[in-house]
Amino acid sequence: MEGKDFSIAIDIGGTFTDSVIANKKGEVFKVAKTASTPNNPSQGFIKSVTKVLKLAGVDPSSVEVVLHGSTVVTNAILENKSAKTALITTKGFRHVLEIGRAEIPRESNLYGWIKPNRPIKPRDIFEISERIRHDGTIILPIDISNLNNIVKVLKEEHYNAVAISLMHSYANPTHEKKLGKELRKLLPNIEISLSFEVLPIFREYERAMATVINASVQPIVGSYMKELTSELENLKITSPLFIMKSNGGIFTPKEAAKYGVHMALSGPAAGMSGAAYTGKIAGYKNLITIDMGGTSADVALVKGGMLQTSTGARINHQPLALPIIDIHTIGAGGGSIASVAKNGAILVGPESAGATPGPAAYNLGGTRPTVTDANLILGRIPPHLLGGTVPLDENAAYKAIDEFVAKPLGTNVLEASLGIIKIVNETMHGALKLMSVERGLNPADFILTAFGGAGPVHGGDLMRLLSASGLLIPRYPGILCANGLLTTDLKYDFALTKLQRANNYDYNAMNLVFEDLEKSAQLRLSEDRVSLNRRVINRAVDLRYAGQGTELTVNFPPGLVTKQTTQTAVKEFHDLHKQLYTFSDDSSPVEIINLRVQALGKSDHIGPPLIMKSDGNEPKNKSVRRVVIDQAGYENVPVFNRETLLDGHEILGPAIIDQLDSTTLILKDQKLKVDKFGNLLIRECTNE
Amino acid sequence: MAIDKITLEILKNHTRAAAESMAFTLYRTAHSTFVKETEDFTTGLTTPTGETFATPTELGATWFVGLNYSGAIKLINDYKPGDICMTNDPYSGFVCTHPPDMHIWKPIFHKDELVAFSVGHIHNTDVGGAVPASLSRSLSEVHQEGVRMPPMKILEEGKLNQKMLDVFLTNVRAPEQNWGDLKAQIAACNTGERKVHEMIERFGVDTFKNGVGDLLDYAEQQARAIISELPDGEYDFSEYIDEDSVNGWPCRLRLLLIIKGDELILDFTGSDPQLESSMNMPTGGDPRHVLMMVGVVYVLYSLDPRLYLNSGITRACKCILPSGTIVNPSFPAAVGMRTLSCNRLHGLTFGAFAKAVPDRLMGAPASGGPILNVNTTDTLTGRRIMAAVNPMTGGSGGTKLADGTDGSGANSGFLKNSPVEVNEVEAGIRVHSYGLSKDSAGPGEHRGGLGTDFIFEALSPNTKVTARNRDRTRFSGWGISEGRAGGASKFIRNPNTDKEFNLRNTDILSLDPGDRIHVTCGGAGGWGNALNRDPESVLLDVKRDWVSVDGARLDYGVVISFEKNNLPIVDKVETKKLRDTIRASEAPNTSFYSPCDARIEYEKVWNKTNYDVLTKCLANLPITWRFYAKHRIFSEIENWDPSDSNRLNGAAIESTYNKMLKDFPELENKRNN
Repeated sequence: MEGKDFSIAIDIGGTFTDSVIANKKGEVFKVAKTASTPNNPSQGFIKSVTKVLKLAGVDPSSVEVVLHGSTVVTNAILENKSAKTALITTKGFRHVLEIGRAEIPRESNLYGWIKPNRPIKPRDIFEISERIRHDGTIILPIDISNLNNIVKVLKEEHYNAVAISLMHSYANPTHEKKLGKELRKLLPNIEISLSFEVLPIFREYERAMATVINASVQPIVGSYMKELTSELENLKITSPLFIMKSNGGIFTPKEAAKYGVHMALSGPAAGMSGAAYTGKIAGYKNLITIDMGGTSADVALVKGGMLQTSTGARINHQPLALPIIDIHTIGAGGGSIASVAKNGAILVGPESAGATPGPAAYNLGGTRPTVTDANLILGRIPPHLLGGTVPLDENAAYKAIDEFVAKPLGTNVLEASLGIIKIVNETMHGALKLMSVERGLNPADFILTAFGGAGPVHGGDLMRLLSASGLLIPRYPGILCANGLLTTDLKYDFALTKLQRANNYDYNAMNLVFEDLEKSAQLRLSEDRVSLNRRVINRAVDLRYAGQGTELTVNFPPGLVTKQTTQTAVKEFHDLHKQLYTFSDDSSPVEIINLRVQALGKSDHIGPPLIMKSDGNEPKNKSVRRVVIDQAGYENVPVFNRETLLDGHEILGPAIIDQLDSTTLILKDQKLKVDKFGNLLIRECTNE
Repeated sequence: MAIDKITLEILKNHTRAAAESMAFTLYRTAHSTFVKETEDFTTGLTTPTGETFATPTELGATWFVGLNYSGAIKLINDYKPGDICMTNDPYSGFVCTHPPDMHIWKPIFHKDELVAFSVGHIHNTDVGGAVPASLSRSLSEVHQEGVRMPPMKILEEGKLNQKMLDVFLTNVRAPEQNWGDLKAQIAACNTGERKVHEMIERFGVDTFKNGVGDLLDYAEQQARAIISELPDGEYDFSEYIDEDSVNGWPCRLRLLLIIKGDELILDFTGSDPQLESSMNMPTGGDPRHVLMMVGVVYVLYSLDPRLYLNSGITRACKCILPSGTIVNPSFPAAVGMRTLSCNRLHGLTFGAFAKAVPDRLMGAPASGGPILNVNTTDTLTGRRIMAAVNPMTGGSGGTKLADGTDGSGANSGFLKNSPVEVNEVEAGIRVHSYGLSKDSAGPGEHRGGLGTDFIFEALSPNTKVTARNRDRTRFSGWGISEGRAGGASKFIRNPNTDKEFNLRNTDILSLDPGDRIHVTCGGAGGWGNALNRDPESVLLDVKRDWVSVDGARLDYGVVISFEKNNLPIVDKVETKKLRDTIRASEAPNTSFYSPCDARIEYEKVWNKTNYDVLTKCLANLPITWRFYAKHRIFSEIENWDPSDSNRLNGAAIESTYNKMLKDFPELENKRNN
């Protein structure tokens, strides 16, 4: 192939690494799946790059860009495998991180709850005398006479990273800067994170937590980025590499090495980006999405074509107040284990058999029944995985369900299997409602988008339970994260706390802050060599009614900040408050808390190429399988091969669509239509 | 009739989701920040007789699973579709437990049949009465605690009772907020009704009704199974509130727990007479009143976290609540600050159960830290400030398995603190430190959780600080299985200066600019002998600044020395020597629990004999005399000749009592003999 216009996307998950190679003209779109190498992710990365290049017969010199979604940071945080990190904070506040917001999860037993471990312990936290007031005034100059003692301990105890988070540093970073400079002199080989750079937003606990997590992953991300870059060079790929961020955008390896914390949800963000893109090409702007994998399901929203982000995320029980895609994760996946308690209660998940030992049908040592086993017994998935390369053991699945569910309940294996599916569907239905109904949204205004290996087989049931207006299954539901990487833009978030009391807004001050933030934004895009015509700068503000403890984020008009532009934002706040909380209070004073700027460097998005148009003939099924759709028991259901479906084909349920890494189930009274990109759109016949 | 298990599981999910959806509706539609910030509300579904079968787990006050609405339900004669009833009167039906809590309930019909009620409450920021926010320890009659609405229909067949609403809103300080919150409650009840209709449509009315019955039976069976694993027997325990009124005498709560097979009897006889302050708990003597059940639910849930939570649990329990006492006050005793007594009640319940199974439960929770509010003027901007500052929280007691949690949970409930950076902006104060209170944890092999510690400075003249729920400056939380008591809570003005003043349990004060306040929450009790604690764990606490070097030596027998680089290490030789010496000198501790020194001292005088005599004497008096009589007797005993043995054997109390009867001949005839 000629020309330098190929993009490669590599998404590394826990078990598999998915890769795509594609070109803008749409001539090439090849996908591959390789085993992940968790102990040495860069090795798996390069193996997978080599594989797709070979698959497509593309020369490394023809690669224009490489995109990467990674779980390196996620795993470091979840498995507490990050670097040994110290925190330096203002005298008097050493225990702030340990206390947190003091709140405990509502469903927990107040008297028996055990606090999750913080990423660092109080003994890793050092105090320095200094004090800045909330308006930036220095009321106690920083005293660094004690710094040598701290450095001595840091050296002796072999700390690898240091976070600095001082009181009110968002209002005046002088002390943090000074401390950072001194430390860098004294500890030239240690990574240092400053809170006003990571998250210049008030609330000392959340800011310190983000800074500590950033510092603790910095050494890992730094060396990972170096490895990736040099491995790509070895392959003679000189094109830029971009890394997926949790906010739904991408950034450069250089930025990633500095702000690795932004990769906390790199993987799911890529999937969401793919879902939003699928909706866009299929013609839908409002989606409720469910990504069902082996151990869990992620539920999220796309509104007006936009991924939704929030600053209220929790990672490994810790708050991470950075813009992160807004997903709700529940313990429902193909590997979720079904069991019956002593008193006869049947439970499905959150305990999971994962990939190892896996469902009983995998025959890899798992003996307990899972959702996958139930789907297999019901004939809803084929008796093998990955296009026949991995056989599934139906007898093992039968035995497991019989022993652990059917017998204890005094029922047969078929009833028990249907029960398992019903219960896991109800669990996911609950999460979907939480994302929609409980946020004041009507599911009937949304298309359900189901992906992940296990999503499409449950999608039909979920659409029906939720009363969504339709169900969209992307062309490659099992590798949507890799697909999603081809549809992202460079995306940087800048923010600063600048409290403005109601009726006393300082428009000049706001202008200065926005100008500053936008200057940083433009500088960042210039460093990434984004041409001017591909730059988009958006403003937003966080507002609240006086007395409220949390804020809502709304857009802010560009240009000079005036009374009028501010009122536009305030009005949007009232409207959003009404949508979320059913009322707005126009007479109540509105406070401006944080100013935000988002910088986008737009790239060309690449999706799966068009498929052939049907010539008007009915699609032909490849086989017939005995499948249980409902209480009626086994019936013969036609099975179609996804690869043979053409643009315009329609299929009336019940039917099954098999493809390499996923199976779609269409229920009775549901109808499927294939679009020109190969997406499946399923609707209830009553909605036709 | 039992329904099949898979359908029951799905119905269970639906009932919970329905209650959750009600809570979301309420949370989303409520107007007051108080509701949004504290989530002091409940939602739920009950049977036609008022048994709660569904409560939310993610929002609101999630532990009122045993709430029974029957008392209030019975006070309305006939229910019609579209009716919604409400009350905030603690003495009408005993569902509401203090006037700020507005309870509402809506009958749900399927065709002509009443199938359920959707119910819920919100803590209103203010319902009028003597003081803003309607709560003060110093109030003595419920009339001072706000306007009280007896059970009435606020909506009759969907039509708003405007007159009733006007009466309510005319008597409160911020009517828009109350009305906004009431609308949110109504919306939540309507959501509950819709969800019940959806369930009936999906499952059929018979399956729904039978399923609800099954869910209650199911929780009951689980509770009974947990109880039958506990050793049969009688277990008595006491807890104390530092003061029964402003600057008053200590107040005792007493429980005799009887475990018999799969049933519990909780006898509260011996608890103090009802108070002339607002810390009474209005139960109406209901043997399964929710206030008495919260502690039990926590205990059972701690013993088995798989317990399904609904009011079926309470069927295995029966409380004995003598009238005219703090656990069953007579009208019109004030009840606003019952939160403080409820905190002590939870500890009391845990203590009695711990006596039965000390290795499966924890030491007393951290307690006594206040909810702080500041009222001042910001000198920089001239802005008037009324702001909530940190609730002073603390952790849970140590257990056989682990140390207690530090700084949060337990008696502090689900309260969130406010960030220091927010406090400095919003409350016009300067914070000098916010941390965990050194040496506050009850020592033990597994120590208790630490309380939080807060030092702040007033920046303007006439800065008013209120500190609700102050307690535990005298009687701190006990430890179990040789674990020791937690540290007392502190409230000190201008510490370490010549103006230092111990504020003890004060709950309102006025500060000058430059005044500093040091306030802490008391620590939680430990589990197991502190001499068995791994010295390395003690060292770790020293490094964390949670245990002092002195504390390590005195409380744990661990000798800490310092290396050349000033890093602390355990001196193993000296530690062994010290621990051996202490072991040899100390009598073995055979009691299942270890109270604090102040309690040991206090109970030397107010021992079992004395308190039994006191309880008997007071029970003979008319209710209105008991609090006075208690104070008179305490005062006499305080001044009694300490060398006289009658002071300790009940005789002094009898004679004081008899003298009082002589002083007031009217009493002689009125006695309940």
